[in-house]
Amino acid sequence: MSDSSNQPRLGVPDHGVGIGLRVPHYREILETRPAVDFFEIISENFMVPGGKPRYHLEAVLESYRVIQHGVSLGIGSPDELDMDYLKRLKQLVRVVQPAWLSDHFCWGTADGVNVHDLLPLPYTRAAIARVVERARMIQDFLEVRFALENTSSYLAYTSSQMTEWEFVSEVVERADIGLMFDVNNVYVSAYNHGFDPYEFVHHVPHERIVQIHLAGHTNLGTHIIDTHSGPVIDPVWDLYRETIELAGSVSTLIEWDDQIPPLAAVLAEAERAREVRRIAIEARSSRVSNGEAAAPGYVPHPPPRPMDSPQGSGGWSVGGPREHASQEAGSVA
Amino acid sequence: MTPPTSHEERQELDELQRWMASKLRELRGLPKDEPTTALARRHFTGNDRLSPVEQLEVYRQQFWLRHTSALLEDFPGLSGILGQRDWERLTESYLGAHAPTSFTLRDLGAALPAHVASSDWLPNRELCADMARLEWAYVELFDSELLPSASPEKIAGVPEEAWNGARLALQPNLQFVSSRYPVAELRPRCAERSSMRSEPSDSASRTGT
Repeated sequence: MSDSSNQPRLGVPDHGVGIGLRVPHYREILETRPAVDFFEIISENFMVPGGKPRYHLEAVLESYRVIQHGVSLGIGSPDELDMDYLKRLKQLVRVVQPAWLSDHFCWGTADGVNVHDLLPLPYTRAAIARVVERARMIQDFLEVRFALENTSSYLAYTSSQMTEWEFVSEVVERADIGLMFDVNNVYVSAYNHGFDPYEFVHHVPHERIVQIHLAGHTNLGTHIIDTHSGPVIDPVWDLYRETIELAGSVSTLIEWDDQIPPLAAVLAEAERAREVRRIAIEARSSRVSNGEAAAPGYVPHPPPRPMDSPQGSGGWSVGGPREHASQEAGSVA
Repeated sequence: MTPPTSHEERQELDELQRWMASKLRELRGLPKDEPTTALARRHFTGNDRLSPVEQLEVYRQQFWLRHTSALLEDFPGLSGILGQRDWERLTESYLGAHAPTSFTLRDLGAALPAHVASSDWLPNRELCADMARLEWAYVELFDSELLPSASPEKIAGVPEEAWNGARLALQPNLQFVSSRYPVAELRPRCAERSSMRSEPSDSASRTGT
């Protein structure tokens, strides 16, 4: 039995372990050129004519692989897709030339108003039809492998006709797109809605996972907010290991967008991801060489339990901070 | 694989989303509003920790937190001049009158200078208007296109005969901001005053209860 997990999935390669490219780290990155497998940018921050954002991006592109992650597509919105947005996104794709590009399973625009949020979709046939049709069109238009990310959610709809993992799986299969699998979001939504996160991890199409996101969050007791603040918690590392054992070697990214620490702390988190990934891939290979199935079987777990000591105040950013002049103290241009 | 969807199913989805988007922009907390609470019970499941309307309220609070925080980042000088109470009143009236329509929060404050100029209730309105125009010019400058600049060395290297056809031009992103007050000098101190105040989340929590 052979383990084909190291082959390019949906035509995209394994980039290793990367981190988000964030303003407070610009100077150090460009001066010290740390060993990072790849950087992920928030597309919207660089869909601008020029200035400092584009200066820094071009400097990073000279030395690193960069992929794009978006937060404003709102693919499930009642409004039609914004073609001006897509054209600007495509212009940036031509500059960055990412191996893949992602956004979210969400909606955010109605009647021309953009609420700048990743609002969850009801898991219905109507939502599937809308997202599938648009995802196909977007992938064709952008001419790059497109992936959608499972979001964290804080409400659940009475109209949902299936589980989130069934919804996600059907969309990526029917649209023939990639899955950007956010393991922290699985944990956050499992906590908020009381399901088994391992059931989610086991029941998505692993061969379509083109990238994994890992991040910290803020637990308010009544619910968890996906703040991308602080280190990844141990239960999320466990879910990540399980995901890699199921999916094989997938590009993995550490997101840290609120209360951003020094670069060394983010790199240390990336190093931990690299180690967990290595152990999981070894476990997978070991099973294969023993003639067993590569992936572990599903063992039910209880939903995450509310914490006794909630932390933080719940401020949140949508998938990454803005590029902003006030954050520029550490920049070089 | 799910079966095809009907026109009614798509219409129901649209209506639900439009209703939600309108609720997120409401200034006051949703749990105190009976009709909203009743409709939320119909659309959202709730759980043993949050009722259906409290689940929606999480998103309403984040709408205000996110947008007031973005304005505070872009207009720290204006915020510093006004102080917390008037700044919150201004941002609430602004977001009520100018719903965000751009895909990027970078554009959120585009109409704020004009809104400030027309807000009769603002103390020191002319000073505020000057500061708002300057700070919006900074936002535009930050990511606008720059042409290669002519360094002293490059200029010194231009042969004398080439000067006949040479043309020096200003950067296209250069803006002339005329003001009655020395706002460029005042801004660092005002911004410092702004950053020493409580977190911008105060606005969201105040309107959330």
